Amino acid sequence: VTDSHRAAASSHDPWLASVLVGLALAASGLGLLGFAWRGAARSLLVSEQLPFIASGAIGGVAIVGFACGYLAVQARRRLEARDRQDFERVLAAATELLTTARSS
Amino acid sequence: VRRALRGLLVALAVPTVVFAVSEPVAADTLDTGLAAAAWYAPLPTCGLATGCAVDGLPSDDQYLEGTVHVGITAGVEAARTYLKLDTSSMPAGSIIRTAILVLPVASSGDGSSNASHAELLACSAPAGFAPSSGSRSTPPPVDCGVSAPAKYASEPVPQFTINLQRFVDAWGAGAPDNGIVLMPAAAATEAHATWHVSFWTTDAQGASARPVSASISYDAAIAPASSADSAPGPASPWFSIGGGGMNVGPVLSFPNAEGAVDGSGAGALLPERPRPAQPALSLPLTDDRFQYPIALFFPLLVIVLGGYLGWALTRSALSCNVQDEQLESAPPGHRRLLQQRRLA
Repeated sequence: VTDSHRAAASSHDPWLASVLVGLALAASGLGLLGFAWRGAARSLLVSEQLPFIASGAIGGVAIVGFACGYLAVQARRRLEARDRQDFERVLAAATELLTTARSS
Repeated sequence: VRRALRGLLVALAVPTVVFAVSEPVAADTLDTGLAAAAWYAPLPTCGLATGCAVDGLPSDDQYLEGTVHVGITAGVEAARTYLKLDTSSMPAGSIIRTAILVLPVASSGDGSSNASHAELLACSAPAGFAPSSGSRSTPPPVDCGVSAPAKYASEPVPQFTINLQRFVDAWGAGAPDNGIVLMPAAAATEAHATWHVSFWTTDAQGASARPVSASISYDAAIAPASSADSAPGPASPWFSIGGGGMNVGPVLSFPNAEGAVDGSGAGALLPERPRPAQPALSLPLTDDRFQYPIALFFPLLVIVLGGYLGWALTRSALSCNVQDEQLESAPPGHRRLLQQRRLA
């Protein structure tokens, strides 16, 4: 594995890209909330406000909630992957130590 | 396979972006005339503190039929006009955006005099009006809480134009549309002005007649069905979106305004025309007037986003270089296990 390959791999980290997508999703949900607020505030008619509230506000809250849950899952997966990575290192070191002990 | 998927995503994203940045379909416009018109010639005594002392006098019939009049003599109102726009050709549930009233001035032979100095004000008729032609009785009530001035232009033809945006906003806020009143502005009364303007109604005869018209832009909320029962009916209720709220003009006090009632039937509402059967609710998915085409791509976006998130949730949460380091530092026996796990 060359250094250039490592650099290219780090720039295409799929986990980082997925986190960015989650953040963009949360931002779009907040934007939808703002849009709904603006649409509902510019009219005094309940019949014109309801579509903004129903589609915009509820949809915005749902998207923000989904994005937060998705980011939490991804963060937990990252932590657990690092734990597994540490465990793999310990396991590799133990295997190497055992091999050395047997050969000697 | 990855390249093919990327190409597919790009191919789907391009039309989505094009639809996203495209302007919504422009509003429809309607050039319409008058559904009803009336004009009153209140007696000069109506301007006095005692009010209109005499009712029941014969109407002022010195002008041609099919004309309406607004006038003032030495600061005393002499004629006042009531109009109602014909919106019967608008689909039910339409949303009015703007409305411009155009009032071509009739010739001097039809009664106009000193029209270029006329100062007209459009107000609303809260209680409606009855058909009348030069009635001497007390005119129906007038509410100038929402008003708009008229602008005069002598070229290409002498005419007044009135922007009815304030009325549109008021109708959108729930005010009833019972008619528009054209009357001399307060400035004309204070200046003791004298002028008289005549307008043709839709019923006017003759080649030179240019009736009062209105240009209305609106959004048809529901596409009418194509069956015979789906003839467009009157647009009711009227709604307007945008405009920044209702603009309230100055409250003017005119003789006979707000609350004056007589026994002549003035002030009664027009008889409501029978409404045709309304079309069944139908979503105009195949109509090219679908206002926000990007909505059609929402399911596609949801599918693409769901697929990507599903893929991201099943990939390794470690970056590729970390996995490479782990693979590189592992002993030979364990390296094979890691490679198999990574391939899986």
